[in-house]
Amino acid sequence: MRKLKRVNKRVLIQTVIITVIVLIAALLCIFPFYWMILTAVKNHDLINQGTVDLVTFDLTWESFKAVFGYNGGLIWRAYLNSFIIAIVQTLGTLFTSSLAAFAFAKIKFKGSKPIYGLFIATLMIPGQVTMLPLFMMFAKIGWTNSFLPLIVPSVMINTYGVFMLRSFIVSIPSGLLEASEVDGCGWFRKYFKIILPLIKPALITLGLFSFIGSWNNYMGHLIYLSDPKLTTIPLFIAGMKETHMTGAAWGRIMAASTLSIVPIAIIYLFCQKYFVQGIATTGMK
Amino acid sequence: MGISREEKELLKKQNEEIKRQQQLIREQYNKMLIDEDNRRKQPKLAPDNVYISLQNINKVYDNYVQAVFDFNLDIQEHELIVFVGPSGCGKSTTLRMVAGLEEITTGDLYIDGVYCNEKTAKERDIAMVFQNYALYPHMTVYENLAFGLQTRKYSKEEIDERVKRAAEILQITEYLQRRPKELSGGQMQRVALGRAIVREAKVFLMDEPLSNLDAKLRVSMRSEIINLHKKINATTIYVTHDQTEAMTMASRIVVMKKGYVQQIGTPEEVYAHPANTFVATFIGAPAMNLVECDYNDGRLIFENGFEIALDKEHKAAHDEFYRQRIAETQKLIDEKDYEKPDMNVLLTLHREKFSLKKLIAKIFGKKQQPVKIKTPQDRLEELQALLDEYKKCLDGGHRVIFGIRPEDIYENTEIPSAVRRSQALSLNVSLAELLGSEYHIHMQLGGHEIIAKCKVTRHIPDNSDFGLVFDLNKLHLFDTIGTKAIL
Amino acid sequence: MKHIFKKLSMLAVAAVMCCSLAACGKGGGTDKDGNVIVQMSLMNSTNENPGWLAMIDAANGVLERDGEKVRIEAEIIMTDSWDQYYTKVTSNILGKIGGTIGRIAESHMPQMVNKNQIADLTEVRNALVETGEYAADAFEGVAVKDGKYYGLPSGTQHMVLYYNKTIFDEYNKAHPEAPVDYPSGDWNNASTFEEIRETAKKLTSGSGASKKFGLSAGPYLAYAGMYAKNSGGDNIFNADGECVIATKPFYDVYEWFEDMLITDKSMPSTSDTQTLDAMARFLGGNIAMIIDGVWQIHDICKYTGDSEIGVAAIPVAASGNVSYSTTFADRFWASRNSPHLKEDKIALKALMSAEAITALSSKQIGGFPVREDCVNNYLSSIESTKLAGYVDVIKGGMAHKVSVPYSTYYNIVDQQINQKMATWINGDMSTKAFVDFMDETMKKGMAGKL
Repeated sequence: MRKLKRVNKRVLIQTVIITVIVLIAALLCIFPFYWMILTAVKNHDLINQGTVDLVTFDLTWESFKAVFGYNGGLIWRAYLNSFIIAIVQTLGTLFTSSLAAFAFAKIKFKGSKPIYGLFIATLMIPGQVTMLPLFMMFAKIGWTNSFLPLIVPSVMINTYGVFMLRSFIVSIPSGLLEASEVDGCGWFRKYFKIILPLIKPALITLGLFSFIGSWNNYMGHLIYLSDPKLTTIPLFIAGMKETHMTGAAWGRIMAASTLSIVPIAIIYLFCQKYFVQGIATTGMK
Repeated sequence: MGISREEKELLKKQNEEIKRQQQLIREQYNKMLIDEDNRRKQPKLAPDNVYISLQNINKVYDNYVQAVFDFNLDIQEHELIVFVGPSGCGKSTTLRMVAGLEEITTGDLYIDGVYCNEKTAKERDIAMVFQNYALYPHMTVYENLAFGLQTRKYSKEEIDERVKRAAEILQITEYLQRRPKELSGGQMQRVALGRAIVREAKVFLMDEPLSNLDAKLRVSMRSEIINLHKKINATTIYVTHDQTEAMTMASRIVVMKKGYVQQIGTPEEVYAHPANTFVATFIGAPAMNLVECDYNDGRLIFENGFEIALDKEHKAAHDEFYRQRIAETQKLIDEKDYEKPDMNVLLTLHREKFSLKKLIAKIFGKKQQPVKIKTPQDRLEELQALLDEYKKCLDGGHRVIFGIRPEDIYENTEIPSAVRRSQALSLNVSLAELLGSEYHIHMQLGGHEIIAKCKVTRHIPDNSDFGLVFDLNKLHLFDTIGTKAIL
Repeated sequence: MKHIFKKLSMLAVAAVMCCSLAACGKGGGTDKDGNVIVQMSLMNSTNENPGWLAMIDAANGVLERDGEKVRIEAEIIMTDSWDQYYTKVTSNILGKIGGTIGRIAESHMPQMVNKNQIADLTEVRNALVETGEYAADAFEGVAVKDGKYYGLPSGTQHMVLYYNKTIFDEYNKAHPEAPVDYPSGDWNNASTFEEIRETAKKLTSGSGASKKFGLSAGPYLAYAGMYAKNSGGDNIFNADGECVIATKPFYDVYEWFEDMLITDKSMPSTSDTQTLDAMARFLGGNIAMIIDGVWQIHDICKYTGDSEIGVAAIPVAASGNVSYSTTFADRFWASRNSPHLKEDKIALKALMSAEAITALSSKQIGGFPVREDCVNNYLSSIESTKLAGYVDVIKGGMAHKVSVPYSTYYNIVDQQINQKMATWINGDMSTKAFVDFMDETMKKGMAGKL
């Protein structure tokens, strides 16, 4: 009985220490977001004071009102455009990447290894190298000032996505595909009914990366979109930030930043559920 | 460094020979593919009275490795055929060719009168049970069973009815809503069987389904499968490496080794009349005893002086056997079979592929192992030597392998009347294993260990002498050269 | 299989719809009246947009009056720095889209000229200067290369010293025995470095996050020339074009900074300005004096609440030295790849018209206009603001101008110096070593070794 008590005590202390450490880490991660939201609702004068108040009750909705009123509600347009670009791009990229990954992983065709090697080699090329030639190409075919250059290249080919999904698909036992072959599945049925459900966690992860990448793609939006009707969230925030930053703008900028991460936070909260579910369901024996 | 000039010359000659034979193999392979294409364009007529027919099936992979050599088999409807053999003998490959999961390199496959080489697995209407069950992990048992039917666009009611019926037969009704990871091995196996049953397919193919189960479960599942077969009565091809399963379940057995069919026959035939030493030792446990001895004009002489006299029929069979062998070998020589490339060359083709080790060795000038390869001249000499051997066997005394199953060795006391007794022999017992109702008695005869199965009548201590007789009705003789059965 | 294709085709249709939605809105070309639309690139700024848009409207009025078939449209580019803006302009010019004319900060002009991105505007400049209504020297400077003019001035903005009179008054009330004087607004008799140092020291109070500083005068390369000249030295380069940073005037200037930044700590350091920049602190009433540009007038008037603000001259090394002020003259440019260069030049001429410049300066935007007759317009617009009493001081700053010697390597040199600045401010590098480093880096830049 005494031994039990001692062991319990030791376990308790360990648990407490680990919890405290993890809590500190969590706080460190959350603090920037907390500060951002706090600044967004702080009274303007307080912001300019430059004091670091962790908690203040001198709050106002002025900053948010300013953001929603900026340029006559431009933020809704920015949201809409950002959403269209991000969602179309994400869905498209998931579809094509998973198809390509399936082909590379499970279908034996001549030259599959060399082609895949080529794919992976292109991953080493930094984005800056291809940015200018791509821009020139799109300018020549007149796709500038539209969403096309932001959506089409990623949908056509997303090497990182193919790489990630292929690794995942390779781990699916070939026996499953053979069983489905005997059951009478063609390639597309195999893809939709067997592969896709089994790679759900990877798809969701890739989708999230893709979505966030597109959502935050300031450089791409800057050089391809000129029309104010085509403004997106990153451009909107940059426009708000302006040069010759003055104190009054900080609250506004924080408010705009908060609003910009709201959709992503919502999506992430939803995806978390599916993410966990995905791993639990497949649980391959 | 350190390689003499003669050795270098030898190496060079060998390399040239290897290259020539490799070229031959490549040409042969390509020619075979072209011939096959041409052949396939011709109209095919299925043989009648046969449900599944495999004719001259060969499987050669892209890297020139041949997995199945000239497989011929006719299967009647409702039979349960078992392919049995050690691992790597090509039984699974043949099964997968029947299923449509592997390409048939050459040969014809007919299922229910239809030429099936080019047909997909779906069109062949076969059902398959895999060794590791291959259940879809993200679907419930119900959905697993229903999947094949859904693909074939059956109505919902039909699917429901079939699934429920199959579940009842296999007693898995209460698991229908579970996922595969929540099932035990035996339950998963039943679901895999169920998947095959709901389809009501023409042919059932089973690829070592019981290998992943524990021994006890294996025995119970074995009888379940047999009952299932009786009930559903589908034509089944069953692959296993366990000879017990083969013997108990099959209507006919196909024994395979290293891609070649060794023997096709009913369990009784394969047991009582094995075609060669491999089949003889593979089938039956404990294995048949094989002892080398001398044959001289109808008499078997063992190394310890023991003799067995063969009767006239046996002697005639023996002579006939060797006459046939001589004729065969002569035919090979006449038809210039020795010009065919040596199969060992295939190994060099593998080694030819780029390997870093080899490159490094080459750079550092290490001595390269010469590959032993036979030129046509060598092969011709071999064949002629073989011919002489056979002639010698026919004419005079030669070695043979004497085979007798353990249960056909009786103690020299109580012998059933049906047994045709040989002379008595007394051997020293090295080990007497008591298995409860019988003894396995290990003895030495002429340098070979033999085992006898005897009923327990008295206690048999180790190192005692044991008097035994052989049942001459059940003796087997095997040729030492080709290990085929003489009788 | 069929219903998969249905799904695919629906997705494709949706994508096409989105794309067509996005692809509409191509600007430029001609409008329904047959006028050629010239798009003008402007950097987004809530303060300044009204000014530039008013200028464009006025210019369009002039174009219509003169019967020209050209109209100007604004392309407001949403960026937060001149570098990003320059990237966008570069891609526009390269891709032949967007604005074919625009305005850009002086600092990026050398790059634009060197990279052959902009068109030769000599004929427009000649036409304007010949009228005699424009200050000829305003066209000189960074936009000239090999005798050709590639940019037209959009206005000159200079530096002054702003101070929070309320803070001074409060201090004087609390310390009646030793009051501090307001900094001098006389450009010929400005406050000295010593005086400003003392004042700053006295007005510094508190510590930590709520510290109030006495002065903010960023020791940046762009302003170094102004201070050097105020110390009797040269504006970075001497008459022969040699870099003279490693000379006494510069040492003196940076020692003054050292006194305030490191010894007295009366100026916010780089880490302080990173949490909250100097202008924000000034607006919040946490800095007593700040040396900054006239483009801040608008925000200073709007966001300083009840505090009274005064304007003074840039401090000098010794009394009697003339006080110089660094000027920034931004430029209008025209794209070399424009499909309608003739119309672009017509548009630029209209933007330089009296009406357009008046419209701009009336909103206090763009700094001192390049037309003499609009200067008073600009100054009088200040009369209606908080700084009404200091119009003369602001005007006085234009008497002695010093421009930043921008060049193609200037930005890189500036970057490298700023990176080393923290080391010096932390006390890990002596002032002399830092100034020598500045000199060395500038020489390297000149030699093309950066």
